[in-house]
Amino acid sequence: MSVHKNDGVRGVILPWVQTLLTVTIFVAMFGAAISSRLFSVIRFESIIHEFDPWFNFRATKYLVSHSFLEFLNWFDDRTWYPLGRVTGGTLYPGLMTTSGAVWHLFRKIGLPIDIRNICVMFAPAFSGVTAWATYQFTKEIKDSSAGLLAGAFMAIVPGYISRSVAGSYDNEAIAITLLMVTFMFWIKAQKRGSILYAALTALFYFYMVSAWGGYVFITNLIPLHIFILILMGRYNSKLYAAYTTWYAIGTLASMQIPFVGFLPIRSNDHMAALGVFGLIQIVAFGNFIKSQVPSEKFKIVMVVSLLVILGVGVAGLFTLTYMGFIAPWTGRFYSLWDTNYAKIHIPIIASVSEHQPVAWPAFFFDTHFLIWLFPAGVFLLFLELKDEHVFVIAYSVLCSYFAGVMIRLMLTLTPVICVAAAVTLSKLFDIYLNFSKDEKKLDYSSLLSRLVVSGSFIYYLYLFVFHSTWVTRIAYSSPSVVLPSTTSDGRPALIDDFREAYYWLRMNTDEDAKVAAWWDYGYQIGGMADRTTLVDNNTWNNTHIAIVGKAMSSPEWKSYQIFKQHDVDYVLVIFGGVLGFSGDDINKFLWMIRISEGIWPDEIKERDFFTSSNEYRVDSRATKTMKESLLYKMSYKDFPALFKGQGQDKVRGQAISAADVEPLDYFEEVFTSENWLVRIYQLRDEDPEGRDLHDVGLFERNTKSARKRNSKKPSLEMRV
Amino acid sequence: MINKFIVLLLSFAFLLGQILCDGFFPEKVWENLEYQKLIDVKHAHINEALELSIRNIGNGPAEEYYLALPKEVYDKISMFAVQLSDKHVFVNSSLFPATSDMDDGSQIGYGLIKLPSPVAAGAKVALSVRISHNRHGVPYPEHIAIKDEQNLLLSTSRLPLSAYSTQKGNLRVIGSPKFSELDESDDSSLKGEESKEGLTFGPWDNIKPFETANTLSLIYSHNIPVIEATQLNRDVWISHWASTIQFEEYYELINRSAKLNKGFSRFELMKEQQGMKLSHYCSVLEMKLPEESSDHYYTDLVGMVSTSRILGDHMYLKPRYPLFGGWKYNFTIGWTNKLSSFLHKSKSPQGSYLLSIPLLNGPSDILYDNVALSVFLPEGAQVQAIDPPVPFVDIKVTTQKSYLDLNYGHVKVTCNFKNLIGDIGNGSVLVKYTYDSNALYRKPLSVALYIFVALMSIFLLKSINFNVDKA
Repeated sequence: MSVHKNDGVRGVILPWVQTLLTVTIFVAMFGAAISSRLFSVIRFESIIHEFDPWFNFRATKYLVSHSFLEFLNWFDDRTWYPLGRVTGGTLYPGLMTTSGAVWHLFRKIGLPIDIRNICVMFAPAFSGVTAWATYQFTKEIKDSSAGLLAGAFMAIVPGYISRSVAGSYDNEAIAITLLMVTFMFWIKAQKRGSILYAALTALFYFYMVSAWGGYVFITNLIPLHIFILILMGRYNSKLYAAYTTWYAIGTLASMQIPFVGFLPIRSNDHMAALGVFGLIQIVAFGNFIKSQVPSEKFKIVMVVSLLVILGVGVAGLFTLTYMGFIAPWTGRFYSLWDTNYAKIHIPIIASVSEHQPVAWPAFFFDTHFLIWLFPAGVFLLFLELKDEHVFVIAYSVLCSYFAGVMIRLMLTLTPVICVAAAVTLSKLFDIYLNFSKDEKKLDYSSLLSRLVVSGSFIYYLYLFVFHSTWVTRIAYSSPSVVLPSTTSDGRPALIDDFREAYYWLRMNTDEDAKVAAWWDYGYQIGGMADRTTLVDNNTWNNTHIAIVGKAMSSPEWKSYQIFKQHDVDYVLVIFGGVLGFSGDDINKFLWMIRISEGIWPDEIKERDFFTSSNEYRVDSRATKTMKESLLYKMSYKDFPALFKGQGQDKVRGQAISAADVEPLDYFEEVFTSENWLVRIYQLRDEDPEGRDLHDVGLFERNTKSARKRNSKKPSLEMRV
Repeated sequence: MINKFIVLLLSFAFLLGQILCDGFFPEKVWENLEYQKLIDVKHAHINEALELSIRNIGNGPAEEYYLALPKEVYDKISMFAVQLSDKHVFVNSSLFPATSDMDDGSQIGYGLIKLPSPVAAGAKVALSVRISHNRHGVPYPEHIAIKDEQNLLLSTSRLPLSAYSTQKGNLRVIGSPKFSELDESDDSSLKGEESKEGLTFGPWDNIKPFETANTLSLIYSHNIPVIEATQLNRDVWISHWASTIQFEEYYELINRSAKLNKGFSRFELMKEQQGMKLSHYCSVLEMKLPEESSDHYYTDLVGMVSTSRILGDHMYLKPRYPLFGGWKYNFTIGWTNKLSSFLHKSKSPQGSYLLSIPLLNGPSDILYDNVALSVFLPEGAQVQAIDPPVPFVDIKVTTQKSYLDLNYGHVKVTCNFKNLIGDIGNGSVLVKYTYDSNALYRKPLSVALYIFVALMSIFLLKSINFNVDKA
């Protein structure tokens, strides 16, 4: 009786305790995920970071101040002057619509929060959801204890934090969440053969398509999963139900996004999904035949027909691509396979730092000890090899490769690292933390080994948390718009030159003034200075970018012509020589030259900017072409004089003297920020007397020096 | 009948014509015995002091004296105060809403002085008038270099301008270390004499009414910026629950100083700044905040501005970039104070409050074009009375929804002002309102109710069985 009663009490209390613990763990997980991403807000302010988020922020502001239809039809005439950009049709609206919806919802319930704060806090809030989705996903792979570990890893792993700190309002902020939710539903769907879950997968796939170009990864991974399962002979009707439901609904839904349009049936990136869709029909049909005819005959029929279909399919794909019905692979895709492809053919892609191959230490930096638990986890899954494990294995193999090629794809690898590592660790803990009394005897050596193993892994977990916090604080929490520094008396201060110059533009220039700057700053100028730009970070028109590159690398008179033709009023350059800011325009100059050389190989030559000993120099040994280029003159104007005739460039460590910097005749300095980081020049008006502006400059300099000489020895000069 | 109507119409048209075309001319019942004018150009705004001695030359007693003002000044008046010189009593005075057209095309507006009691025919009164107006001097020359000193040009009438004839008048100008006259006239009686403080003109005898012909173009050295706030939105949020008063001010500034003669060169500014002297550009703004303020912030449209310091009751703001002539800047600052130092609770009736807030908290030497002062009272408050210290354009009482305002929102009282100057910022705006305990508790209760309903609906939704299978 007493045992029974005890059981009864336990039966009531245990689930409660369990629920309480689970809720506490989830609350802690959300708390950790959100609070560790707030370093940037606490150390700096609630500000949008970097470059692309400024565009997303601007688009969001447009969305909340206009109707949704106006947003979809948005033609932006304030960028890519004079071409403009069909912004509504060339963006992934998922991020903006979500934050717009959140903004409206909060207003409805009496919380009129500023849209900027919603955008800043967007990524941290969604990272909590990602952790939950990872938990659900891993729960399907192994069990809920592995799920909790995976969720906790996902919440604080630096590889994901790098793209989701507060203020990092980028597509990835929501995309990783949607990626994990989609995968979670997919695993549930294929495990159960549930049409409901498959439809939910399709729904979130649609959401993902609306949010990030990386949706192609899902489009290919799910068919790959099915394909491998079919090859393994594991076809069953559950797979059929899940896949066909997902593909049909998901594809139709994804075509509703204006930017995607007919791509799902016309581009090569999507053909695998279509092929597998066809294949699974045939396999299903074959399966049906198989149940009707003897198996030996069926095998022959199967092999032959498969070969025929594969042949026809591939041939058809090639023909259709050749004839132009299907879009060929994009350059970004090629650069995934050949890391040198972009460098040679599309310098504009290679010039983006996040498209560079990843350095090996980055793996450890971004995932710490998970990186070596990850292969172990994949191996453990191999041992069991259930259908859903195949998915994780395919995911990890593909993404490991991609992450090695392009540093930004580290982001898609991180979730699977967390999942696999959590599987390993939970398996370890299953064994080594099992102190239940079922064991027959208390064996001290086994107890010791358990304590050592579990103790060291718990210590590793502690280290991981420590490392994640440290990395987040040091590496990933800088908005890059403001730079930390200290004043002369040691107090912390901010170097705020970018906003200083952008705000000057916003306040003190005509509202329709056109600003030419290198494309990196296009989104920021649009977002902060609210002025029309020639090129921006949406690098859709290589020629237009090359025009700006050409103007920057040409002699002054030529640049003046180019800029005048494009109605430019102001030219903005970034110069880090005074401060020691290495990401300035002189350091990006080679990309400008390369990109414009790609279009005008006769006029711009990279070779001319290197000295005879093949050095990239900016001091007195710099080449004539270099010294004559507009960017050089703009960067170094007054720089030597600031240091009394000879200035040491803090970035390049070279001394520039006054004689190196020729005066500007066609452009006038109108603003330079406090630390000289941003310099803005205005195009001079054409001379009213019709002279060349260079002649005007020469004339003025001569009269000035003449006047100087005059004052010294007037009698001699009077005769002239 | 029709005739009568036509006569009426005609007489109406006649009246209308008189107002529109001929303008208004005050009756000549006064005579100025003495008209002493002092112009102080020390600040961005112009202070004028008039010492008048007037005599009634009409037949009967008179009590209304019209003070003639040039239209440019009349439009920009920020303060107009009149005292009886001997008794130091303020006299009722206001701007009169009519203007007169002069033959030379200029326009004259009037300040109306209502004497406390009618002055008998032949009797004399001495008045002292103080006028401040935002018609600041314009840079002369218009474009200068960073290192140059700035001169301003002020145009004003040299001879006493009055609607009545004047027996004796003079003019003094003070407030600058250096004065000179543009296009100096040959007539020695019109020339100014340099004195210790400035320039002295006159005295002149027997000046006829509306003497506008002779303008004085005065150039004076003024090597500090002329900052004008084209718009100031001053929001004051009252919270009874938190017992705080929050101020938020949005400024749109422009420096009316001389523009740069070529593009701004940081190098030249750095050379110049080593001397640390005053100049025509503005690099720091000094705000005078109420005592014991806390939680200060300083932002603009692109985020926080980190260059501000609080020293005591002063908040020193450094704009993102130094403001040269013609440059604009806008920003928002805010701070919080304890409510108790601004709110007075009256004993009777219950729930009646008197709020007293300073009119302005900006820099002292600054001109304001438009000022919108909004007081946000808690949801459910009833405004009884509003008393601003200076004339206002209009007052509106509306509502605005803020955080957790689930009913109809905060009560917003907005007073619009024009042409204010920093000097009169110490005056207090009084707002009398009632706010009973019902309204005090309604807000938390309604928030609690909404949360309760939300939780209950989740609970109910969860208990619905969506399962298709048979149970």
